[in-house]
Amino acid sequence: MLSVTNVNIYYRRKRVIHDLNFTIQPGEIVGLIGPNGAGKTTIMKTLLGLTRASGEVKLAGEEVTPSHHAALQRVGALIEAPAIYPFLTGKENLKLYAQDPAACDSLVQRLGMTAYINRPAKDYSVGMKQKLGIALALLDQPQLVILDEPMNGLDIEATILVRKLIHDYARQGTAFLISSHVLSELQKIMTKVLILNYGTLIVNAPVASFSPTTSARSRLAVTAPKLARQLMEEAGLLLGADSGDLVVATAKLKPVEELLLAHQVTITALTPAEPSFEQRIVSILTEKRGERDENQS
Amino acid sequence: MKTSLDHEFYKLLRQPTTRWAPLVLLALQLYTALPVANLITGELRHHTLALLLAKSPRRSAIFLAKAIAGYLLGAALVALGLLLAFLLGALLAPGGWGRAFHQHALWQALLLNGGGALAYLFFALSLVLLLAVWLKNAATVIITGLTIAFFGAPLSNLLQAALPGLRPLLVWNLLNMINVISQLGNDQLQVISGLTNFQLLAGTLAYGALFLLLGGWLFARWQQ
Repeated sequence: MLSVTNVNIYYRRKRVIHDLNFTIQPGEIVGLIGPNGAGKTTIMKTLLGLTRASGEVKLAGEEVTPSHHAALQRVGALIEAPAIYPFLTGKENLKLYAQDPAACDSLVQRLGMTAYINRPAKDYSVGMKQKLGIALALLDQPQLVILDEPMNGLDIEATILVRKLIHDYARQGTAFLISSHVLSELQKIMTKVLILNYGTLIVNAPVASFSPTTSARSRLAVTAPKLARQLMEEAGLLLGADSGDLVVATAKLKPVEELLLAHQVTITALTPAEPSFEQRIVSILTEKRGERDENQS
Repeated sequence: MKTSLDHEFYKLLRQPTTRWAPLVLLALQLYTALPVANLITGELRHHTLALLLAKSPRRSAIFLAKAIAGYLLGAALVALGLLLAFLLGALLAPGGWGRAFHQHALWQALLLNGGGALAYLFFALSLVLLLAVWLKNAATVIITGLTIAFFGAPLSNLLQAALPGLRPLLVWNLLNMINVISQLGNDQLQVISGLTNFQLLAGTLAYGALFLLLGGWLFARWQQ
């Protein structure tokens, strides 16, 4: 549905985005990840026809450029900050863009904004404004929604609500491109990951490839760590220790459990010892940064 | 007498209403241009421009809509001013509208000046829109606009007096167009501006149209 082909973006004469290529299909939730200044917002603005770029951005087969926006009529967006006129009420802000008043009311209700939607937006808290910005992006069942840090300022309940709403819209065919620094939150919703580093797309992969179904190593917390460590070392079952926890091969969990039980040592916690999604992302970025520094020196 | 005058000035300068007077005067001047400048700069301040541009098929349509909204607001204010003048005239000096004022009956002079104000409005608001797109800051736009409005006409007159050889050319400078506010109701001012009423009106409208086109061109090229 959205295809980005050989896109280069220049700021003044400097190239800030290099040879960008990716696609987003209906119903996909794509996470755009990268450090500050990597170019995430610039890419989002280019998809919305707000910045000039070489290459081709096509939405539903129609090209998007700063002078050609027809394809963007069914695109919702929240870029940098909620697009809200403070002197209007929340409802009036929504009315500016809403084509279906009934669907708009339903969205207000689903986002839990009914109590304050008729109050001037200048009196809203940060979280209320953020919800209104998200509501603006989701109006009229868009084909594509671009969200820049959508969870900013939202409390836990609102975060869960927005996450559920994104899933529901995606099930109905809306595609999402979402950037967020809260990777754990992004991990819960996205189906595909784009990782950007210094203006270059370094990863374009399904999120499943970051979460192995079985972990090769497991981390144990036990009631008597010193004794357990000694026993497991003697039996050749210990792979290592990390912050007081013992790391063993997942395949060897049964003999480890029997050994510890025989010496009255209880396992209090058992977790996969693989790096978390966040750790993997940080590791990829660090690795790429090292390569870049080497190439430059 | 001197003591009394000193006393009265002492009191006048210290009473709260006097302290507010210059601010109110400035605010009234600002208030005509501020909403129009805000049509552009407010979009930046409220982060609404990105969504507005993305959702609109043509940027020129957004700019033109903003310009028309600004002109209509200005025209409504001029119309309201004229209406108030007629009402006050009817209340305070009934039958006085037929009196001569410069070369016209008072009511004619008022309408001609109203027409001049409308032409100036088109010129000034187009300039405000152009400056707002260019400078992207309402305060800078207002200060620039006020400087031109206050000092424009005297500066233009000074320039023409200083360079009499170039006067046929200098009469067409944009600052000279500010005379349109008062000249239409007072033909004697043609000596100062160096332009006939028709020339002055045509020049003012042409500059307004040029500012509008330039503003629209800059807006269409606006990078977020």
